Amino acid sequence: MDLDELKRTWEGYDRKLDASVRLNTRMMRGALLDKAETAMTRLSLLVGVELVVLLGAALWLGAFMWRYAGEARFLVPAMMLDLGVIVLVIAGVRQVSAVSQLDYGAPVVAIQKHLESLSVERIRATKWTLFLAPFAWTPISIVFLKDVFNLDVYAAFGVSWLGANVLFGLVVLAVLVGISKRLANSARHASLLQRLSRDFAGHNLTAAMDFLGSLSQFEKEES
Amino acid sequence: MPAKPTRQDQFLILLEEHKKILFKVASVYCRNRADRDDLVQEMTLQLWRSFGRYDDRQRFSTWMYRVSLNVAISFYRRESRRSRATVPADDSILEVAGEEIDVVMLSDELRMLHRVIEQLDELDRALVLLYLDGNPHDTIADVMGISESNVGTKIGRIKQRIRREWSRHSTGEHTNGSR
Repeated sequence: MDLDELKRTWEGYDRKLDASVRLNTRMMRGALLDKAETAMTRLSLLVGVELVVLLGAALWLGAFMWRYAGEARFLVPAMMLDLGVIVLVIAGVRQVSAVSQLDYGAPVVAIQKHLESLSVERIRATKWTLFLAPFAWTPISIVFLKDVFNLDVYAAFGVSWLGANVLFGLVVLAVLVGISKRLANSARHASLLQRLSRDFAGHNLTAAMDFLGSLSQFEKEES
Repeated sequence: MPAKPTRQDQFLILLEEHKKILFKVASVYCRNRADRDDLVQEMTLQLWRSFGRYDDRQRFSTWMYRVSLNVAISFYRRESRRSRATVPADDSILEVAGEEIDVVMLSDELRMLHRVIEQLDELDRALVLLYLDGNPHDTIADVMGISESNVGTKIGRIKQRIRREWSRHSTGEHTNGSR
């Protein structure tokens, strides 16, 4: 038995499908094709709102830095936060523009490479966001309390309080790493939690890099 | 004077003509019916979203294979990474008379073929499907985006693998039968 004999069996299967498979046009016309438009609109709206919020934060931080340009203890934490926000905005715009230009009707290997490269970028962005999030609390509290309540955190709580917050961030990070490693291998959790855990633990990045390697191999293998 | 068909009408007519591609791609990449229904829905949505970019100088089937396989490979990779957490849809885009399909599915050759396909990676599955559907090497190369000679090499390797699997399968049956 070889593939060419199996091809004849497959042709028989194909003929049976002619009689057996029916397109549910009622469902297609009723909801599905409209749903495609609605889902895209909703997604664009969500991404739009996210970008507006991030841009708002960048502008607020920019104004704060302008006011406290001469005071490094306020300027530096605001700059760190602004840098993070700008990186997130750039990453978001890049992803949205790359996804909107993606043509699924292009050859399989090229599209899969493009999709997997986007996936690598997304995983790296998620990983760094999760990695830095426990430390963001300290600069956020310095900038927010100063701007909203005119409270100088350095003077009010002391440098040791700030140091303790950074240490607490380290502890939270260690706990997050431990939890993500456990959850990444568990199949019992909701897909978003599992995906974040696998992103943070590095499993998804390894899988994406492996697949990119397989695609290159598949493309160049000749004999 | 009859009304001019809308873009949606044109899409549905072409989809009706090539609906078997949806079913075959889904059955190559999914083991159970719920997954197959989800994948058919994803492929159909993407085909409709991409239809605006379809150039009708190209064969619709070639374009449809590309879109469907791209969606299916991404779906397969996503599903194999995570556990199933979705509820099966109530309604299916493709309605299948299960009995008739099952009769064919019972053939030993086809079951063996599905077993072999399940052992292939996502890219080789696409190649085998395109080959079994009777596409010439240049069309397969065009859909996959690799050279024709590369298609020939890969199909040759898969043929060897199937021959080995079949002889192992036959030897196993013979041994069991003689006990």
